[in-house]
Amino acid sequence: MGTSWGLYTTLTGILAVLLLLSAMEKKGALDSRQVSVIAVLAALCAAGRSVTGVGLLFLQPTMFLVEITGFVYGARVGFFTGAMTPLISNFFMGQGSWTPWQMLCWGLVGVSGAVVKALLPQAGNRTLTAVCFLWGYLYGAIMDVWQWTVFMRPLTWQTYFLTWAAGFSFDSLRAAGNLFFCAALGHQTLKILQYFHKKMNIHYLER
Amino acid sequence: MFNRLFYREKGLFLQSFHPATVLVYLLVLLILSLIYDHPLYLLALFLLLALLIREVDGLDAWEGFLKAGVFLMLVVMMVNPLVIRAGKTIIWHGPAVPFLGKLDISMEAIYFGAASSLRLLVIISIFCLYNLMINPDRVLNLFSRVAGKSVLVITLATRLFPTMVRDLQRIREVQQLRGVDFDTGSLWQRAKKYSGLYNVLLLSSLEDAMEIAESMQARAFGSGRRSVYSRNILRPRDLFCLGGSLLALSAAVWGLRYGYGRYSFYPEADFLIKDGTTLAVLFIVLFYLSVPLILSKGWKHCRFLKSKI
Repeated sequence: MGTSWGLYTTLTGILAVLLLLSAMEKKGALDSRQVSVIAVLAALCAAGRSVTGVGLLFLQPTMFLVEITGFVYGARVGFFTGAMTPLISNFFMGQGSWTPWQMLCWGLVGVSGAVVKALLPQAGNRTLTAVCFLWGYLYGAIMDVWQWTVFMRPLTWQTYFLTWAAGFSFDSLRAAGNLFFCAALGHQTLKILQYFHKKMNIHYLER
Repeated sequence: MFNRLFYREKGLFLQSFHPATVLVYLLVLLILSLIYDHPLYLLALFLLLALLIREVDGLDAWEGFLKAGVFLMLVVMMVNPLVIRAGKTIIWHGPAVPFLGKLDISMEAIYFGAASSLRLLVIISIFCLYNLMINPDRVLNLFSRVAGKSVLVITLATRLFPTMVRDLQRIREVQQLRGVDFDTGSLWQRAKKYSGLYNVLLLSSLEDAMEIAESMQARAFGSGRRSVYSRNILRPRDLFCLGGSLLALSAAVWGLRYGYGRYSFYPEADFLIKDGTTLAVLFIVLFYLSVPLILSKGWKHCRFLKSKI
C-alpha cells in the first residue's frame, strides 16, 4: 500500500510509446511512401475499430489487418500502423490513460507479424490466423496488467487472475472475431498488400 | 451519437488557453488522482472536475463518459472484496472456494473498492475535460515542432477517416446498382458480399496512399529541415494557470511527504479527517487547482479581471 503503482505503470506506458515513436522521427527512418501507407492503413484500422467496435461489441475486423501489415511491410511499418490505430480511433471513442498501453499492445501485434515473417518466411494465412487468435487473449491479458495495477489492491496473482477472468468473455469475443475475420479476409488482404509492397518498393541506383 | 463527445469550438473562456497550459494542468490532475489514496481528496478532485466540466458546458458528454466507465467500476468493486483478506471488520462469512480460499467479505475491502472506483471516475472525468477543453488540432500543432512525422501521420489518418466512411458508402452504392443485395441471403453469403466491399476499399485506399506519397514527394517531403508555423500566444491567464498547477503539485508532494493524502484501509480504515492539517492541505491544493475555474468565473462577472487576463 502507499506505493503508487498506478502512476508508475501509466508513466512507463507513456515513456515507452514516446521512445518508440521517437524512432520514427529519426532522419531517413521513413520515406514518403511508408508514411502515407502507415497513415492510410491506420485510418482504415481505426475506422474498423471504432465503427464496428461499438456496433458488433468486440468483433473488430482490425487486428488481422495490423498483423498482416507487419508481416508484409516489416516490423517498423507494422508497429507504427498498430500504434496509431488506438490513438486515432480514441479521438472518436475517448482518449484516456489507457491509450499508451493500447498503443503498445497494437504496436506489438504489428511487430509479431514481422516476427512470423522472420521465423517462417513461407507462412500462409493459416499461421497468421492462429497468431491473430492468440492475440485476442494476449491483448486482454496485457491490458489487464494496466487495469490491475491502477485499480486493484493488493497486487497479488489472485487479484490479477480475477481481473483477467472478469474480462474473459470479452477476450473470447475478440479472439473469435479475429479468427473469423482473419480466416475470411486474410488471404485476399495478404495478396493485396503484397502487390502494393512490390509496387512501392523502389531502389534508387544512385542518389 | 458521438458528436457531443468531440471537441466543439464554443468560444468559452476555458477553451481559450494555450494548449501547453491545458496539458500541464490536466497532467497535474492526472498525477494527483493516481498518487492520492485518501477518499476525501479523491472526492474533492471529482467535485472540482464536475464544476470545470459544467463550466465548459459539457455535462451531456460527461454523462456519456461516465456510462462507459460503469462496467470497469463494477469489476473493481466486485473483485476487491472477494480477494482481499486484510480487512478486520468481517460482515459476511462466505463458503470456501477453490483457488481463492475462504470468502470473507470485509467492510474495509468494500470501502477500498468504492474509493478505487471513485478514482476511476476521476480519471475518466479528466479525459472528458481534455476532450472538451482543447482543440486536438492545436495539440498536434504544438508537437509538430518536435515530432513532425508522427503528427503528419496522425493528421493524415484523422483526415482520411471520414473519407473512408464516405468511400465505403460509395462502393456499397455502386455494388447495389450492379445488383448485389446486402440485406438478403444467409450469414455466410452476406459475409461474402461484405468481403467484396472490404477488398475494394482496401485497394482504393492503398491506391490513394500512392497518390498521397507522390504528392508529398512533389512538395519536397523529407528533403531538408522542416519549417514550422504556429501562432499560440501565452496570455496572463496561461501564466496564472501554469503557476497554479505547479504550486498545487508542489503543495501536494510536500503534503504527501508528511502523509497528508495517504490513507490506509487495512486492517482497519483510518479516520477520514485525522486532524485539521488534512483539511488545510486539501484546501491549499484545491485552491491552486481551481485557478482556471476562478478565472473563468471572473471572466464572466468581473470586468476588471476580464481586461487583465
